[in-house]
Amino acid sequence: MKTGIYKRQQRVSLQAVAFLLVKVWLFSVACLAALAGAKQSIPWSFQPIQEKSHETVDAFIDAGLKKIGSIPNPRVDRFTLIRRATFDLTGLPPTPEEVLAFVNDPAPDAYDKLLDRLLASHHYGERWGRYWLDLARYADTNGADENMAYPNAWRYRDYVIRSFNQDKPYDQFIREQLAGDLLPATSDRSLLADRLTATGFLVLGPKMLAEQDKEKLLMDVVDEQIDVISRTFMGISVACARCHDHKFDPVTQEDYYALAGIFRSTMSMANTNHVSRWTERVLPHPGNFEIQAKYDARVEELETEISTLKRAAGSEETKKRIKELEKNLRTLKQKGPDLPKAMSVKDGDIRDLPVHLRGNHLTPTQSMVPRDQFNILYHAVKTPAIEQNSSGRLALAEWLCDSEHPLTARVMVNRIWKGHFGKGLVDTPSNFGNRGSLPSHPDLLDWLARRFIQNHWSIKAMHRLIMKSEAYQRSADNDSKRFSLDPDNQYLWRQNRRRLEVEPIRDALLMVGGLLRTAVGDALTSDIKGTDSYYRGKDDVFQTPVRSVYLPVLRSRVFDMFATFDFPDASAHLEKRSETVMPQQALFYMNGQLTDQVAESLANRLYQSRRSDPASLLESIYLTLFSRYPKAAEYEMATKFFKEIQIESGETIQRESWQRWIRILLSSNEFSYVD
Amino acid sequence: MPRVPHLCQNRMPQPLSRRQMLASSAAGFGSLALRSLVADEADQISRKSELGIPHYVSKAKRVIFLFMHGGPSHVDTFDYKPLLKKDHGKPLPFAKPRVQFAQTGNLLASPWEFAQHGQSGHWVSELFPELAKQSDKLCLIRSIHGSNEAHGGALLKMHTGSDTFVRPSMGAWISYGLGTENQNLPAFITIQPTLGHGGVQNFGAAFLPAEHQGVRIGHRGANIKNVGIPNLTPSYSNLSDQALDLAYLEKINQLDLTEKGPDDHLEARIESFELAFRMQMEAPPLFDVSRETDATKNLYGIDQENTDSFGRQCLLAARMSEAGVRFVQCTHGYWDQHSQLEKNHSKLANEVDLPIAGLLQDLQGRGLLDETLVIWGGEFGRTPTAQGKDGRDHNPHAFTWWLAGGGSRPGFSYGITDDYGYYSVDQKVHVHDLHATLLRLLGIDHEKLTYHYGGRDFRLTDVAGDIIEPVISV
Repeated sequence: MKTGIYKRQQRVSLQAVAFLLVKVWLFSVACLAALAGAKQSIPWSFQPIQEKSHETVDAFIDAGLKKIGSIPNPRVDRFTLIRRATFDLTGLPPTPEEVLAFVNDPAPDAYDKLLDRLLASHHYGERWGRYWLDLARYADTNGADENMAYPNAWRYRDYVIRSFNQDKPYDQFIREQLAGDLLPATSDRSLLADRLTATGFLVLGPKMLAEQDKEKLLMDVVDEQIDVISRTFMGISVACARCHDHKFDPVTQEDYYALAGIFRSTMSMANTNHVSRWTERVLPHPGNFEIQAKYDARVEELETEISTLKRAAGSEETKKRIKELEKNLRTLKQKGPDLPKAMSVKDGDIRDLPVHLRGNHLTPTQSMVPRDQFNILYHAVKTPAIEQNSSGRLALAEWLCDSEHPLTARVMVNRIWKGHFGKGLVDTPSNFGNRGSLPSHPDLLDWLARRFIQNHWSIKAMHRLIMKSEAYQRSADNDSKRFSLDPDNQYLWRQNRRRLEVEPIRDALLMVGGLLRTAVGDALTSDIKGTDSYYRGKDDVFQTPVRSVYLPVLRSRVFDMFATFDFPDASAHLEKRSETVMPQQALFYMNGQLTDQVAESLANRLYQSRRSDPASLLESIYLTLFSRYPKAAEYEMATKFFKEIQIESGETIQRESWQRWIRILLSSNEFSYVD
Repeated sequence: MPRVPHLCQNRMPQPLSRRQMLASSAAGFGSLALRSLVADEADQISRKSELGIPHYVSKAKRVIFLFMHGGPSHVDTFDYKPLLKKDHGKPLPFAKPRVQFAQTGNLLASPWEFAQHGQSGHWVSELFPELAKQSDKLCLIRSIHGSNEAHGGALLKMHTGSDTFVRPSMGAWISYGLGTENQNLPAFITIQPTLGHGGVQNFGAAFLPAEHQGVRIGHRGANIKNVGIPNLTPSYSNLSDQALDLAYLEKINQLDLTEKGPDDHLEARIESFELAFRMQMEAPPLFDVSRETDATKNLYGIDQENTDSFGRQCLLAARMSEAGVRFVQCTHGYWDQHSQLEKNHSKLANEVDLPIAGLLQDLQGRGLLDETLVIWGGEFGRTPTAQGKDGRDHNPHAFTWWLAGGGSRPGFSYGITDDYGYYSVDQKVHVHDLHATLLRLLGIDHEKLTYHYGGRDFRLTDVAGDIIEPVISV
């Protein structure tokens, strides 16, 4: 391979030389700039995680508030609390029955029971799995240049959801995604299948499949993998060290090429044809034997028929028939047996890489970097030796999962915190480096990280720990005095009001309309079929009333509603969604079909049973949409509205009027925000 | 100040004018409208002054980008190569590039004759008879080169400046730098873009605030007659009903806000409904081509079989541009003739020739050409050598773009390719240079249009880009 490159290099034409010279010049400008600022100090996050003596989350928060002389907001009422907790853990609103049961539960452990119920719900994994999918840049198509369908990506999605629901220890979750295929053998088929599927994490990225410089393609895939791994698990960005030492953090080009060696030794691409193809692996499944046998039988059948016909005297018709059968056989063999497959990797041609000058694979230097010489954080965690016949992915995973690794636990507990407060203790969740934000509560972050490791990396235990705190249960309302002391709520004198992301908005709409299909296994496995084509699915796949996490994610063709509400293109790791307020979102509520359907459906349902009692009907609407009873002013407002629009239509309030009122409420701020 | 396009006057399909509407709504819905408008304009002005825009005195206020997806052949359109005909069938007398998309054989003569046109004497092939008549408006750049030989990479390079990383598109950068001229419409609209080959990234905002991403109107393959901004059609036949609902919505939201205390997000969301209501009033007439005069329709080739689709795109672009949309992109394809060059390039050129010529004349007729920069080009050119017997392969090493209006130098030609048009050889213009020049024509210094993200400042032109001064009219 390498000699090939050198040979090709010698044949470089004059024009290419000129072009290279320009490039060299450009890069040297960039390098000089890099050198000028090359003093990278050790970031705070590279220091060991400290042991802290406080007993509760609140002890840390209260200490901070005391420091600025502020007092916190009071706790919220139970109506607000159950809505907050339910959206937080399941991405859905509570039903009116759930609200009333909780509000009226006299047991002292009512809240604990609520948390238990929510954490045990399969909707939990659908909510928290979706957060993970943002980090993993999950999509069902390749995007980039050739937007090929990923017909098996959904298996990774479902694996993630399953893992969260099982409360899979986070360290295990990391091992499986980086090196599931290299874990010790097991006879448990479904475990084995999960482990292969998990490594889909490495394959999901967008790739320039039609790039004709195939070595560049492979190095770009490696680069994309390093980027997603470093930002997801470590909260630092390593990918810039492809071309030069990191400008701000202590990450060198040698570190990069050590890691690059690991992933260049991993097979992520099945071939490098004109339009290249990523790797997929057959999953162990009890039905496989049967599928294979059926396939073999069909092949044999065709072969026999062909040879029989060939032996017979050849009329024109027979010849035609033979041709036809041969074609069928070819197609069948090309397709292979229809065994279940997952996007997955395996170890390939094991090798170390040299540092590439300016990140260019055409200019390798003489200095080879052993794969275990990624010396980032060397002072804290020693890099394990990598065996000669292994890519080193498992060793890398073990290194990340070391209980002394200063980044892994900190980064993850910060992400969990963000899921409960809308904002992390570190506001740049995937940048814990020198250019990222400093933690607002460094001691709390370390305490949580230690707890996380001590609790065997249990994510659900962290939810309980955080949600049981008073800080979590505080009101989100504004208070002028407290606001003046801490306008950005750095010290958490209140809970942050959060706008729902597009998935819970859509799911809540469908749910309050009674339209959402939520049964276990009610997932869209995928509308994406066909292995070698662009995605040509129908637009109406997005009308399927399943939870949003199950809708296909099409790079380059994000579902309109999703794009309107800040869903990413899913081409790169995303640390946090943006939260824009745009007129297109208002138009969605004003004129969109979905809001209309939902309002109509809810109005129909309630109108049937309660038309004779408007007060109780209004109560049901507010309980369903906002998890609370309407206030006096709201009764008045509704009454006034009905009067205003009913002038010509008689005494009783029409179903259509209720529908209009519901639609107004669906458009309100309260519906889109969690307090 | 927002301007109402003259084309749209007296065309409101609604029974009431906006002013009447806002006045008639129950609780004075719309009271916030003016306030939010002023606030948005203030934001825009403060960003511009932070960036120091304008950096140059310039004429162009907005851009219409006619993107020819697939890669039209420069040696068959605007880059005349007599030797190509003479040496037809002979091998290329110098080396082909290290990386090629596909293998090509010997030189292939252009099936089309070239002639000089207008005072400029631009050589234009018979593929563009109508456009040729507008030669003196065109500023040809014949030495563009990129770095990616495949469609996806080349599209991304052309639209975002990077075929390696996810970066904001040029429309988004321009929206970010100049803001909108009309608060009721998006600053960046892309009409029927391709969803392949980078798709949304080609009009995305990447890390720029999401308001700068292009608003997509349909996509390639959709029927141009049915496209529009999603959810723009009012759900009520009588708009005063909707205004009433919105008035109550505002009351509900205000009540909620009063209880919870001041909150910027909640307030911004209340205003967004006002903006949406205004957009709903102003945008739909822009899409209504039906009441256009026959003369205008004929100018763009609307209702004529081959030119209807792109003619409508061009007319929409002109109207949007006139209404103050900063960056409008039209996309036409698919110029990817690996084989049957003659047949398909003829068909494709025919589809755009009249509409583009019509657009240029219409803009000039309305006195808009001076301040509207029209740009035309594909993601790469094509090889002078033959792929198969009658096709040409991708060629990112040399291709032609042209500019018109907006302070570009009319009737001028810049850049030279080799005798066969394989490589740019003199006055070379890299994609970054092209971007730098486009920004310059809009009064922006490409080195100063920056956005701080992930610890450093980013630009459309990365660390490169030279302004091509000669193509700028004095």
